[in-house]
Amino acid sequence: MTAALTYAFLVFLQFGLNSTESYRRGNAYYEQGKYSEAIVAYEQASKEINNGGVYYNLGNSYFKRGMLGKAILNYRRANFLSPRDSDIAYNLNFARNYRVDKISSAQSPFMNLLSEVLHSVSLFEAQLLTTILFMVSVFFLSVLVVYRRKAAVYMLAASIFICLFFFISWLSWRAEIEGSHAVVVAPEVSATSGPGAEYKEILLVHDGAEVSVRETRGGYALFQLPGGVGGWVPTDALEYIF
Amino acid sequence: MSRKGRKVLKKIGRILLLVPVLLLSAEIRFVASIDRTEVEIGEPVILTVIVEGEDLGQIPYPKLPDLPDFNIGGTSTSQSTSIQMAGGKSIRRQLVNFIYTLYPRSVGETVIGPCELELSGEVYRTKPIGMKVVKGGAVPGQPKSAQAPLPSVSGDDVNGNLRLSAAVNRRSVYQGEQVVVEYALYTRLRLADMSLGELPSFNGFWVEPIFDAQRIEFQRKTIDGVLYDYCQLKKTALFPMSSGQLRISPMKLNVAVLQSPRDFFDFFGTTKTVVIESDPLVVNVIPLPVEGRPGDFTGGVGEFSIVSSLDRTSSEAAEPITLTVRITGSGNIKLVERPTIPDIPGVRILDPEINEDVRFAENRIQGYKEFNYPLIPQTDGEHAVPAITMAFFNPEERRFETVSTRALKFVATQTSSAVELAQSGGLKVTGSDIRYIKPDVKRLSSQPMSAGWWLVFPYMATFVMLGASILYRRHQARLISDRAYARKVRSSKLLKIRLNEVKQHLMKNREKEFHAALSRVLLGYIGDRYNLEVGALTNEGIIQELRVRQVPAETIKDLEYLFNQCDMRFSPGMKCDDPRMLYEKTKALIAKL
Repeated sequence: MTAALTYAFLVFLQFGLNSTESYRRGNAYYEQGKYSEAIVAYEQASKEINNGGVYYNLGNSYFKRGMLGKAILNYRRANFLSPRDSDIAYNLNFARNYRVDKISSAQSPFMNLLSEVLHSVSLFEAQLLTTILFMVSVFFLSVLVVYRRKAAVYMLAASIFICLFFFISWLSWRAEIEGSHAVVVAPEVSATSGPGAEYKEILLVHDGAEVSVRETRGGYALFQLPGGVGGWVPTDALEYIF
Repeated sequence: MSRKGRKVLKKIGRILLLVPVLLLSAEIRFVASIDRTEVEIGEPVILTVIVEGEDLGQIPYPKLPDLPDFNIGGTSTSQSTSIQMAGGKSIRRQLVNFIYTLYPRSVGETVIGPCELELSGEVYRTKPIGMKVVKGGAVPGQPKSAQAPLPSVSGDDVNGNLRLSAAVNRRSVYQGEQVVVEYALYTRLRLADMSLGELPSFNGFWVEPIFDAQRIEFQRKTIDGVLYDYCQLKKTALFPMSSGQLRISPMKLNVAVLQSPRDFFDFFGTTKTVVIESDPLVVNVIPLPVEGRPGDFTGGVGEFSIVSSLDRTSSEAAEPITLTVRITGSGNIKLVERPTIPDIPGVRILDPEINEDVRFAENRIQGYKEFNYPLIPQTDGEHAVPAITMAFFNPEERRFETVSTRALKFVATQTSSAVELAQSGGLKVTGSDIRYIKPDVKRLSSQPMSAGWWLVFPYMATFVMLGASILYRRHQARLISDRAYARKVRSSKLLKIRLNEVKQHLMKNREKEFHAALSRVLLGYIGDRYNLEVGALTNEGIIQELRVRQVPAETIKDLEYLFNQCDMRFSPGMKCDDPRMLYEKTKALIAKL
């Protein structure tokens, strides 16, 4: 038993060390301007460990190589893990402004603000905080059941309110994940009206376009842009964020 | 004292009693007078009632006598107060003149009866005044008496030779629709002087003045074949702000009329002041229909058109562009509120600056109202200003109409750099790039994407917690309401204490105390367990009760045995069974019970 635990710990450490190692290597390449090598190292690190910093550096490397789609994809992943990191948000926005396709999001400022507030905690944080606040709420409910104090009502209401906020944040993240969000990684691809090259070309999209995938059929995916337009593209032209 | 002496005293007493009354009445002067005792029919008589006194407080209107021979045409009051210091006391003298304009209705001798004033419980009366009414002079005209006896219909004066007319161009309008009211003076007399008595009040209207006479300049005008001197005094456009019957109170003028000289010595002639007032006007205002009122109705009633324009078609570095929305037309243009501008994505719309200009032309208030909205582009690209619509009510057509502008476009460039420039406090930004990579860290920690299945545990724990609290609450409630339950709960605690006591005695080999304690344990526990008053029962009684409660016979037998053993402490010489065995047996029995 002890031996098994020690082994597990060693394996964990090994992984940790390995990923740290590839991460360092990536940083070194990046500093020298060897972005392609940096990409390989960071990709390795990102396979071994889930860390916003790794995705961020990977995104930077892709951006320097001019692969906008991949850059946005990795910034999105980094942003998912560390939503309050201003560097990630800045570079994501920066990369978005470099896109060929200018897709204006038709969202109202209020909705933007709401989304920003809800996404100020990551999914994991939202889950944890929801659970903790739920426990706190039940604790106050128990206090209320046993002692019937008015103060407990206020505390209960407050904790339920905060709990609900994090729960909505949780749900909104889940919706994001289940929305099958993807990024166009091919530099330029023609979308067709059906799943296959023989269909009529209806739309030209460039790398970096953030889409949601409606369905896939025989190596083709039907994507949709925020405005509602969309079409079929080969699945390898897209990469899922989550 | 003699009889005569008593009489004298009574008299003196009466006089003394009268003194304060006299003093009081001496303080009030209440008189009525008229300006002349002989008038021509149709001419006004001014009746002045004066109340004068010290510290009178609020003076009520005097009650006029019945005046069947007169029409009362207007009342006014004038008041003056003076404060005098006399002997270290301040005396407040008040003088109030109540002035009534009376128009005799018939020819002949007539009497104005006494006026009454009730003040602090006392009633004062004036003397009656006699006067004579003679037939009208040279100018023929309708006698006043033929008119309706309403005081407000006193516009006709001096046999119809002097008249203040008030007229609205429409009697019934929609709310917000224009009404023009005009005041004019018609006269055939020579007027020496004129002053404004009272302006009409336009309550409930938005007032747009068109003309106010600065000078009196008469023009000639023939009405019904009679030549009048005519002067327009005031012309105003009114826009009703509420619906219903809106009343415009009359305008009043004080006019000094030059009288023709009576004889040679009366060289300059005399003047006579008359108060003339216009008829009150009533405008019937119909509310705007609620049905079919469009959402973009902004209060306009009339006929309008709307035009929008941009001052430039391109904006560099987030420079504001002015969107001008101009509403032109006739109607209540100043009351038109700003039209709603639809949201333009990527453009901030600031509050507008408003310009307006109206004039009176073609019998209508017309002009424009301009809203200048500064637009600040937030994103690069071509921005479209959508069509702006505005609805108004057309009272001619009796329906709502909607007008709209054309859509406009402009191009914004370099907005982001402008934002950056603004943020960096005027520094020169020469370029932009992504931020640098995250530096090395000692150990990278893995950030979980989401929580695992273990997240269900805390939720389960909360259910346990809630369940426990509900159970505890119920237990608490039962402790209060259910006495037997409370005893039962208490007994388990007591039992422990008592058993402990028994054990102590057992250890120290104190047989007597041991038996007494053991008995207490048994009785106490049975009492609490079955809610019995054990103190009042004998051992046999207890066993009887237990039989009733269907306790197994074997248990009862054990209990009987234990009771007997415990009672042996009272009979000296009897040897008890082993106390240790008794103790164990008791414990076993209690467990069974």
